[in-house]
Amino acid sequence: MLKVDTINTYYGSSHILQDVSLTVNQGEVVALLGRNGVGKTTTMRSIMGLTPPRSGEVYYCGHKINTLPPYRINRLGIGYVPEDRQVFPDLTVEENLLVAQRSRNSKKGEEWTREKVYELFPELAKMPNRLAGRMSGGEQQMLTIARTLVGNPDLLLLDEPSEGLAPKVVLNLLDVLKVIKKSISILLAEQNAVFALSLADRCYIMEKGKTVYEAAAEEIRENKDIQKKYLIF
Amino acid sequence: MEDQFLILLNGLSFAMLLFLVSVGFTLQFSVLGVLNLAHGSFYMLGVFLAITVAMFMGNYAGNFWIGLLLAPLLVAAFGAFLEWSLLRRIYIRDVLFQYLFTYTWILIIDDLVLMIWGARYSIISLPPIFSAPVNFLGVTFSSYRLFIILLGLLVAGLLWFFLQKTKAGMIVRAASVNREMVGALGVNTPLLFTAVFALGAWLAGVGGVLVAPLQTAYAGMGLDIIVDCFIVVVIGGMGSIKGAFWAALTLGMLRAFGIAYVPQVEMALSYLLMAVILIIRPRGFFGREEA
Amino acid sequence: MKKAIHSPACGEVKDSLYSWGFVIAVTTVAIPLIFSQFPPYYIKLASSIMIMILYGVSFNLLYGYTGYLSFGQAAYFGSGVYVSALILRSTSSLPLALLGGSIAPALLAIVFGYFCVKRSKLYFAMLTLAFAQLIYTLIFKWRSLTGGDDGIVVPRIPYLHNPLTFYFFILALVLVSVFIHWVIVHSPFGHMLKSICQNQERTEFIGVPVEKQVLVAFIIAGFFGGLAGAIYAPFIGVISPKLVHWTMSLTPVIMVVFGGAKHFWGPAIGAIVYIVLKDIITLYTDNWLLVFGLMLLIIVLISPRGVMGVLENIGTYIKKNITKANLMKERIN
Repeated sequence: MLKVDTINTYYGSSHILQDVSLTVNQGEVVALLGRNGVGKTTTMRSIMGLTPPRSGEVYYCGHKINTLPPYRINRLGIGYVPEDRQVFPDLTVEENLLVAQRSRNSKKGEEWTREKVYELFPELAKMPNRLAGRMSGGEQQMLTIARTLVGNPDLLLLDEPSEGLAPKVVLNLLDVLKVIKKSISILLAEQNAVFALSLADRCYIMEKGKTVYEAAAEEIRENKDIQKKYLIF
Repeated sequence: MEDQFLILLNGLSFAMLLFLVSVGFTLQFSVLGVLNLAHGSFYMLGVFLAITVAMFMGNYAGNFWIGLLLAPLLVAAFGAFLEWSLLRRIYIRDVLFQYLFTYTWILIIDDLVLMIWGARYSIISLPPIFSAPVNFLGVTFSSYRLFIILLGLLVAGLLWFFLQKTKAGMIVRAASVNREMVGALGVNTPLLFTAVFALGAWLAGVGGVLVAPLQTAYAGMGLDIIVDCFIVVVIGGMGSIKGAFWAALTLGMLRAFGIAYVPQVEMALSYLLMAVILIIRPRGFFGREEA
Repeated sequence: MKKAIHSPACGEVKDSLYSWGFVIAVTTVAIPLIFSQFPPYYIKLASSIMIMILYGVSFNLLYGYTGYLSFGQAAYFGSGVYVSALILRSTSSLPLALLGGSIAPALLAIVFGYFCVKRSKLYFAMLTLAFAQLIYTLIFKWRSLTGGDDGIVVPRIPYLHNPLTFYFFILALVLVSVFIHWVIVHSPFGHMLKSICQNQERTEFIGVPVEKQVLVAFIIAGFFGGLAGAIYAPFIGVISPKLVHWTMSLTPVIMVVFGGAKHFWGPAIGAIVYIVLKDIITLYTDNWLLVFGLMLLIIVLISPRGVMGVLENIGTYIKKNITKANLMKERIN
């Protein structure tokens, strides 16, 4: 479904991603693990076309997407939930959803409508007219996910969804994502490995801008050495 | 009492003209992040195109209306072309380069206007429907100025409706806080930028056509209006449409009463107001805290 | 991850490298004059180049070193012109005119600058333009003092009657002033300005009052811009509001784009290019604004660092390829 092939991405003159490759298959949840600042976010941004890679290729369902602008990438079916939420603070919950709403032909009948999203996030359903800027961090996180869902993606790029959330909210989030993963493939970047491993089928571990390890989620769950070396538990 | 009311109405008509032009300027800035220094030149193009339309039509009574319809559309098309062909190449550059870039447009457009229309100053005649003044709440007032006030209010209302109630308007508001995210959510941002830039240019063009019967046109009039736009934006808050409205209103009143009571220093009043705002409230009436 | 903030003009301000450019430029302008067989026209052209060099270098102290772009330097140049002209008319003392013609603009820069630095660079550019327009309108409308559109005839200075003598006087004045700029740029204050340009937030963070530093740079630029205007008044003989017009604010901008903001001597080279080019263009067409507008547009579009930037890019490109080739060789070996 998604194939990232030896991409190199720069910010100005600093070389952030070095020959990063990864794949996500249909129906899979793939976690991208690693400490803060190893290039997880940049990987996500590179896939999304927000900081296009300077070399290497990204393929999505047979399309070469690394030269496309972000909106085209989104319209091919990749939804992006950014690291720091980035809700539109001056817009209401409802308006945030309206901006992102997009139906896709392939999904006729099983589309994510606003109603369906409100069902999944009952907290949001209670306050459709609240300004997004006036919501708590947890609510904002729910809103960003909801906002991406109404765009009806086939693949979801989730960047650090659990960051800065209270443990209870994280559990809630986990439940939601378990529902979502039934119909949408997910690439999940996380520092919180416990959280990520309880969702993921397969994992990549990143360090210093490179993917250094790839394994099934179970394997990492059991391998204490790897955990100690690369992750924070 | 009647005099004051008349001054108030004059101020209102000036305020509405100012609002039309400066709201386009602030809208472009809030979505594209580019301050278009050549915005005043678009306004000037509106004036000169209206004159050309009037010349083509001869004495036909409807020429003003055709000008009002056509000229802003032409200006908008020109704006869209500039955005599409040139401006979008420099969004990734620093703001100062974008500044410098639109600055060069002033030179080019001003000189082109001089070449095409010449330095001869001209003015178009009022459409016949406005030839007689109206009696309005007890005062005799220019019907054309009343028309400007009403049109300004109408455009303000339509803009408000567009931004608050339509999906496109929501996208515009969303893009004004986070362009990147809007693109990642599937909005065709290049198209959005072109459209918003064209809308801003259209508004400048409308302002230009409206002013054509009131003021003699001259190459370089764009710079005067762009300075007024700056002042509106500083007072009202950068990127704020509500701010542009109230600031234009304040400035219009200040100017009208200034001309009436202290004509010698009237010109400096708007600067003085701007200076005061910069001291007591640097971000303007409705401006965001600067990032 | 935060995006690296890249300020346009910022980066290493180079000067030593380009000194030779200036030396060559000055000698090309000065040497022929020493063999003064040239018609006065060229001597006057060289004089105005010198004045524009001062104007450009003072402008660049602000733009090139702090990254604050002023679109309104004509306010200071122009007020220098007018104050100097008025003093010359009433006292006919050149030293007094030069003094007044640079102090008055500096005072103006204090007042306007105070407001201009209050917010971001974006506001700065906007406000400088607005205030300059205020000064223009003021001079244009204040007929009793400035003669309005008709302008003022500036009395001649008897001891500078000979164009060549005047040229050398201007040369000396400009060289001393530019030297002062050189000293400022290499002082701790100058280094502070550079760090503001490179990273304003960080500079603020370590406790530098950025606003104040920029204001000081603005005042210095106003002072020397005014001085350039003050000497321009007796040089040109008849002054008009054209010298305060926004197109006069454009002059240093063009010069810096041509010569490059990143070199101390950039605006000086730009001044030579600008004056000579303008002299040639106006031979053929009145629409020199259009020509310069198009040239600027193209330069800004393709090279953010001006003509010198283009040359430099070509240089680094060649260098890069050479090192690449060397690397390849090493690998093969």
